[in-house]
Amino acid sequence: MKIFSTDHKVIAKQYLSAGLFWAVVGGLTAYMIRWQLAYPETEVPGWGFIAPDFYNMLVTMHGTIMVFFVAMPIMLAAFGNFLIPLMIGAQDMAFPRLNMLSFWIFFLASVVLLLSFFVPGGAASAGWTGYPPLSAKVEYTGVNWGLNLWILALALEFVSFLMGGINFLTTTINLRAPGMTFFRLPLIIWMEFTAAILFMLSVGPLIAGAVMLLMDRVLGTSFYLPERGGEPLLWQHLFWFFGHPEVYVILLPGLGIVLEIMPVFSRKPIFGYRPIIYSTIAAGMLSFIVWAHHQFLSGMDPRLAMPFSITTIIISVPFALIVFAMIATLWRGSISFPTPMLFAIGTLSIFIIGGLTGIFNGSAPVDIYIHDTYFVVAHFHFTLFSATFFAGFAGLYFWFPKMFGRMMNETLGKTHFWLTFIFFNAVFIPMHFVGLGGMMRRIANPMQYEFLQPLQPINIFITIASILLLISQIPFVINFLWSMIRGRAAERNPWQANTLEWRTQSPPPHSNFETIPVVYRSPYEYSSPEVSEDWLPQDQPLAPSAAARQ
Amino acid sequence: MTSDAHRPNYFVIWLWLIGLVFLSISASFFLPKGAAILLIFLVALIKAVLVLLNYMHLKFERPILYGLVIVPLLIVAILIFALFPDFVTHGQLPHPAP
Amino acid sequence: MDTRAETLTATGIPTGKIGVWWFLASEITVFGGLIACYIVVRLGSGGWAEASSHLNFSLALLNTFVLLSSSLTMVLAFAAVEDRKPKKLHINLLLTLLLGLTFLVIKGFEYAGEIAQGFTPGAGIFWSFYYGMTGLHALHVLAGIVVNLILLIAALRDTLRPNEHRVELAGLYWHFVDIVWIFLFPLLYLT
Repeated sequence: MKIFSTDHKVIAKQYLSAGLFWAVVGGLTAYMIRWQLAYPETEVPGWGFIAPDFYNMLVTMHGTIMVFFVAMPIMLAAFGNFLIPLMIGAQDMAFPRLNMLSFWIFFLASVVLLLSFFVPGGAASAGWTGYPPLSAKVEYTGVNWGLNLWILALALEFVSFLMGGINFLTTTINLRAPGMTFFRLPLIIWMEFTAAILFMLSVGPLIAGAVMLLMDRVLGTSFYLPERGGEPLLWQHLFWFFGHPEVYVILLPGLGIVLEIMPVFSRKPIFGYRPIIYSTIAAGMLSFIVWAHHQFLSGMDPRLAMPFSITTIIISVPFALIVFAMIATLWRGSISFPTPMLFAIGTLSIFIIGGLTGIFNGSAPVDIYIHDTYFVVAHFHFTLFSATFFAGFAGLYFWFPKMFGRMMNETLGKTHFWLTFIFFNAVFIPMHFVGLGGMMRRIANPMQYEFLQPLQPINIFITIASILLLISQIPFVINFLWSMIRGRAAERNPWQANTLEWRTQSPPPHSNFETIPVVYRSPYEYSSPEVSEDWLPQDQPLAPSAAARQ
Repeated sequence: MTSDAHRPNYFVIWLWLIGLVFLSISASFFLPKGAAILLIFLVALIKAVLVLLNYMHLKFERPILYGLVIVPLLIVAILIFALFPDFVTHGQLPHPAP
Repeated sequence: MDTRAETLTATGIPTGKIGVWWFLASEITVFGGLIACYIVVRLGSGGWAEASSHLNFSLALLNTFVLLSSSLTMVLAFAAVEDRKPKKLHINLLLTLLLGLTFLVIKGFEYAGEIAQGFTPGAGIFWSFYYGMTGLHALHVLAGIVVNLILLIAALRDTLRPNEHRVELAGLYWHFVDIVWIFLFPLLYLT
């Protein structure tokens, strides 16, 4: 396996490895944050005392790492790169060398971010949102090169994903196999496609904004510095103008994975294929006009609060439709519960709760009370954790046989699921209550505030649950690594699924298919009356009499 | 690919572009400020459209490609519109109530 | 089976062209975002007429002609590819390159003059935007020069076949960079 391979399957695995590495780092930052919150100013086992500045760095890097270096590379780059050519019937991406370059630029971004931990002053500590003036003047954080490298790492990451986006979009548009019309594409492809469009069109203003921030820090300009005519609020608008579409960029692939898995293990077609697609497009378009719901308390013009509250409430409708479509897909299905299905259903249930708390956050009058509290943290962990981790695990367990040619262990998988599900809820359900109780985000020591002291037992409970949640990932690590080497050999189509990737070998050869498939139907013809089996692959021609009846 | 029959006269387009630059400059000298600004940006738009349609051959391509120009511009327009209250009018209504 | 990306096309539009247009769409949002900020902050800050009066209008006007002409030579280079006239291709690519370099040199003179008068990037919010916008644009011009240089070398060595369509694709990028200047010039120098 060439390290500078242009094969999309290799590149996908490279992104996956990078993402999993950063997930471990991100998990460690979470551990340290939670210990500090539960037992402030005590030594973190395995590390030592945490100064307040260091705590700020931890929360900053936890957010930055999880969003940009775990969710993006795994949900978008790894799954997208692996699945798109296979599921549309192509031999590789449209621009294989650009693809290879995009990974290595991401690798460079990772190196830069890793480096930022070791420079004098430490890594960035102005929050993952990097608001100026805190982030624009070195004196305010005491972090000099760490923040510059943070901006550089993000810029490189954006370049990498712009390149990837060009590949995803062009490939899906132009390299589909004969018969693979847009409305015969599997939903995961629609989701990756839409996510790529959202990213491509929303990241530009933040790139401009990041250039401006770097210039303020390094060249002495004053874009965000009020004392010389600048506007701190400008950054917030630029950041969230991208930031909101970005959360859908990492959400949509997760939903797509669930939508692929549910029909397979219900032996039923997806319910509402076209409405799901139209909802996704609608949500994508709406995502460009909701961003200031992150800024209700920023001091922006208060008249902006109502329009943005309205658009935010409206955007819940297409997502609700997708949720109902998922439930309707399961309804009266012939359901089995292997590990991918458990994680898919887990994603759905957790996402519903996260979506519901989003409605509270999106209403300006309520948000005035809960902004910058742990209620928000609970909300976005319910939505993001479900979309990234639960859906990501679902996808890994589901496509592992295709990626690595081996089966994973079911017992370890089910153990991993139940432990993760139980401890995730143990961590984040109580978090709503500490948030409503008034606990603010990003504080290093809740015990310093008298009104928070009664909540401390909940904080301790959350911390213990979070440590157990981290430990619960061990069955997955063991399963993943061991199965890769010694798992039972996988056949072409262990799940008896319809989409094109299951028609070729496990793992697929370099050019994916012996001959380019021809597609005759949608991907979700399960329990079709046309055939005796309960599945009907997309590229299987029917016998003449059956074909005539279709 | 464009055949001779579908090829614009690139040189004539260039002459238009140069001429339009002079038009803008004259406007900034001879017109009152408001009208000048309007004309100047209209002219910039026309120049951009000339380059897009002729040098970038958009008028010979499948119409869907226009979408790749128009949609990002709409997005930028949304941004400008939303930034107005905070940075142009600074949260003030246009005229105070009498 | 020829499976190079250039030959596969479910839509009839060449694959490379779709790729470049998506890239340009994202670039519209980058420059558009920066310009949007400039417009609203300037409108809200009283207009910056004093600061902008210190710009070197004549050099910028000259640069405008230089860049517009380079677009002409670039599209003539593409016409040469269609007409299979290698000498015309070489000459026009070279002219585009030289005009691009001229643009950067003139810009360098402009910057040097402004800095000598004390108008550095830190001299105020107008100058922040001026250096930010023209600097980002200049970096894009430089990138375009590099791409065109690579194409010129390949054309001279006759290694451009079967990829002559790349001249058209490079042209799309170059014209985009020109269009950005078409807006930057009036935004900075004419208002």
